[in-house]
Amino acid sequence: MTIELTFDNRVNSIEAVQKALYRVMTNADFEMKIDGHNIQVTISTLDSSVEIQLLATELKRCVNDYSLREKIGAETADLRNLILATAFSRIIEQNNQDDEPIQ
Amino acid sequence: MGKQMIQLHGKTKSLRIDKPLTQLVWRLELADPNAGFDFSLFSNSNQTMQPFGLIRSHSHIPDNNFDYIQTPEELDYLKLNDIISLSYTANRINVQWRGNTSTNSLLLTERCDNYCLMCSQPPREENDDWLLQVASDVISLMPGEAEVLGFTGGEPTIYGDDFIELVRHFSEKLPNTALHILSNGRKFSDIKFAEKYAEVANKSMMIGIPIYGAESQLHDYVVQAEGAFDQTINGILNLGEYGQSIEIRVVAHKQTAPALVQIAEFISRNLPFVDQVAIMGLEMIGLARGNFQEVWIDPVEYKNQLAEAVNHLASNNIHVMVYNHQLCLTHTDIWKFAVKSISDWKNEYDPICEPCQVREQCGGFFNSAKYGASSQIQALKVDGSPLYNQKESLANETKTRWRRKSIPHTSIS
Amino acid sequence: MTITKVKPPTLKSNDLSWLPFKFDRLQQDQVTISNSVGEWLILSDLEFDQLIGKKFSSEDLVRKLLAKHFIHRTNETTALRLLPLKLATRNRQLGHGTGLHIFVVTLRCDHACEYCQVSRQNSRSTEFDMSEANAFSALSIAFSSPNPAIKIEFQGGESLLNFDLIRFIVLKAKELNQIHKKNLAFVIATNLAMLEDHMIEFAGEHDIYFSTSLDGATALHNQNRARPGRNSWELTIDGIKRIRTKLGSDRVSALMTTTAASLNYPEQIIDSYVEHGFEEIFLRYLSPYGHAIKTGSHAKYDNQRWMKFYFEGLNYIIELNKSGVNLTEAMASTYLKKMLTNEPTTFVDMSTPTGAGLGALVYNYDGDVYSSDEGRMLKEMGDQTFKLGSVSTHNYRDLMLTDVILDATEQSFAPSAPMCSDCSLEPFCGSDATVHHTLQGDFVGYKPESPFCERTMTIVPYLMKKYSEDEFCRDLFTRWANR
Repeated sequence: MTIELTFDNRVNSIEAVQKALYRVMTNADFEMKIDGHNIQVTISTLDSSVEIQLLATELKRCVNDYSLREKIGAETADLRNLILATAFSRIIEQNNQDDEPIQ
Repeated sequence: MGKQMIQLHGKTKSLRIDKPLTQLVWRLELADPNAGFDFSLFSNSNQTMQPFGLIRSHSHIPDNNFDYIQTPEELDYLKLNDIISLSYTANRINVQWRGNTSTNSLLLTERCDNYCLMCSQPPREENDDWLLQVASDVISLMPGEAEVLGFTGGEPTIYGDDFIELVRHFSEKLPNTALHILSNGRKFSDIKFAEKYAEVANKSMMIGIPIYGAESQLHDYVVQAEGAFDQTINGILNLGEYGQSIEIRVVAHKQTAPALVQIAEFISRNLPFVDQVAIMGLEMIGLARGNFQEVWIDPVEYKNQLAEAVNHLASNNIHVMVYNHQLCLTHTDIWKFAVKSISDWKNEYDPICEPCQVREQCGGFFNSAKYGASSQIQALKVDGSPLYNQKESLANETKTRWRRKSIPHTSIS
Repeated sequence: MTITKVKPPTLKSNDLSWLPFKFDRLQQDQVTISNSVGEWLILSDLEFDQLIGKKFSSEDLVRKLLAKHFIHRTNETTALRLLPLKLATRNRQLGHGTGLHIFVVTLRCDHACEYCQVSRQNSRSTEFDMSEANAFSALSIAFSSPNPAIKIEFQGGESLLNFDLIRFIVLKAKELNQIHKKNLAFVIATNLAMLEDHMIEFAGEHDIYFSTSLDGATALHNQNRARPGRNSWELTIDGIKRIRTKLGSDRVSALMTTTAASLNYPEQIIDSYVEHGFEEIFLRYLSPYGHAIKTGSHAKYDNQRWMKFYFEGLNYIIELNKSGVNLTEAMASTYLKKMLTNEPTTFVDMSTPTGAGLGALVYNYDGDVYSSDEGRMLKEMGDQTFKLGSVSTHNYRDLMLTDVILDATEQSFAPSAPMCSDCSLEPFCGSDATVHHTLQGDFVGYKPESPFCERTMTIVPYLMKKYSEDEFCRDLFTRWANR
């Protein structure tokens, strides 16, 4: 059983497709080909118990979710960096306040 | 916290003074027997040594020319070493310090930058900074063995550096006395101000700051000031950075009751360093009465939320206390957190409570309960179960002192 | 002063923007969101759409998102102040260094447990005992760790078979601690069969705790844990009673090991813990190491069967608590601590960064040093990946800077690992390099096939659901989280 899906890399990045494939394709094989704007994904399996249509739907959903994650990540990147930097400088400051380690 | 049944102010019954007073704050001392006073009045800067005394309402007025004030009957309870303040013309008396109670508070101002829906001390705009001098003088006259003093308002920090000065003056004069300050905490969002406060370095000083929501949408509505939540939380964080003792206060009413658990979660995740949390029942005085529709709720309706919030804080190792909630309106598993906080219980109670087996443990009522009281007040057995069955309870309803039937039934949506 | 009539609050939502968060669709019509400080919410699809579109019609939704720091108002600063504070608290042990130091004082053992993860030796020869010289070198390494708290755990074989060395190590450690002034704790892991009164006395004098194995009721326990005389259970219970009588009930804790035989009896096992006065039980999964694989114990069941066992057990424990029994489930409690507090966990198997080395060091009887108990067991199976060095040639710094520790720490680090970096449950999970190396051959592991991942992805949503829907569980779980 084989299904072909096409994603537009202006809508869903290659990375989003890759991440979705990594997560979802545990019971089937896949091939990914880039052709211009198109990301062509071919899903195939010899296992008749695998519902390939459902898998394709799940993959599409998953790709969109990863694209959404990219959007959230991009919009909150500056805040995330600020939070991390402030948190870690505080940890370092507090560790320095503890007793000096003996070598 | 709780209102005394005792009057704390009144008009002098009669008086004789030479000229308007330059000193406003006076301590009651032993009277010279020849002067004919019940007490001699002493002030720190009374240079003239002119005798000035206090006479009780039924005492004989001496026929000498000494200055005196005569207390009205409701202030006859004043005793040795108590401290009062007088108006310039000496026709008004305010009781500032009483030696036999632990709930003395000095009102520093009636001005405030919040405008809470349920404010028990409605803000006024007029400058009243003479109150700061009164407070300073009271502190100078207080006994060194005083256990605790409160600073209240309005918003005490409105004085800025002068507030810090007063705190410093207190710390120097009364090193063995605890200080409990009530503040909305907003001024401490200025880190320099928090630093100055911390520099006073008084280890027995605690600041009580209210939080009425886990976020600004609710809190700012309750305090009727935009941006208040952000400033208050920043203030608490600054005080925390400087290791200051903090109490968070939450007043439970119609707006805050549905959010009690959310507030408890917020405190335990974000402010775990605070020393204690006090969850308080609503006093139907001041703005609360005018905002009845917005704030009144029968406490029995948020019984579950209260218990869950209290247990949540306690499980997170935060010291929590419940004030001003009658035991019959709360779950028994949080009785151990209830503080018997309203004094003069004997003077103000509901006849329904007379046979209650846990009456002595219970906080009782504010005298303002006549403006809003639960429909579920009932006498209990020691284990918390009702003393009377439902039929007997209904019969008892007619004994109730307050206009409970006229209060609309509310529910948490 | 007139009282102006107050208008009801209007929902102000045009100044709301996102704070960093992760999401997953774990159930139908439900989206789980979380942030780096472990706050979480279960939203309906409609609520999630409002969050994504930033068009809010529900005031309740806005308020809960604000309260847990998923969104903030552009002119407010407290969220950006609180998030780093909470993150710092959650990660405050970074830079502390190794806290758990395991001393394998002997490989000799009187038991022959079916699932043993150690190559045990029979009880007589002393060539499998740790020497005082090695013990002393190991102690020097342990005290070089910058961690202000050091826990020294004695293991084996059966550790009490070399009690003299335990005594030596405890006294030496206390001597060294007069200089280092660390918070020092001792635990003896033992089957208690060899427990003598003088050992209990010594433990009393030096604040030593005991940790023993209790697999359940008599039949199950003895079936799993064979010894001459077939009386392992009886001796364990007797040992527990004697320790409790002399030192107090909190001085001995018990761990169970789950075998194929255990899987059908979750309630009975739990009942035996309650019967013997324990207030905590760890419904453990079987690690795929040592004799377990050799004897086929590991093949005997898979993660699915264990999950069924686990949830039966957990639900039974919740019911017991409802009827007034005080019993905590330790696996749930570990997850709940991450979900409901900012306290870092001390459980090295559920730590991020991985607990190998940074969390624990194992000093084997022969002086070789391993990054974890599991690392030592792997060596018995022929895999020396996690052997870091030797007490005679390496100091603490050398051990921490070995390639394996550096690589394992970096590669397994969940916030940057494939799938984990986007996962909303990552703040509640761990980065176990050792188990993924064992099961899949690399420090990261392919998470869709990882039983470690499956456990978190099944248990955490369940705990979230119970917490959200059941008032009793909310209270119970809050207490479990704060143990």
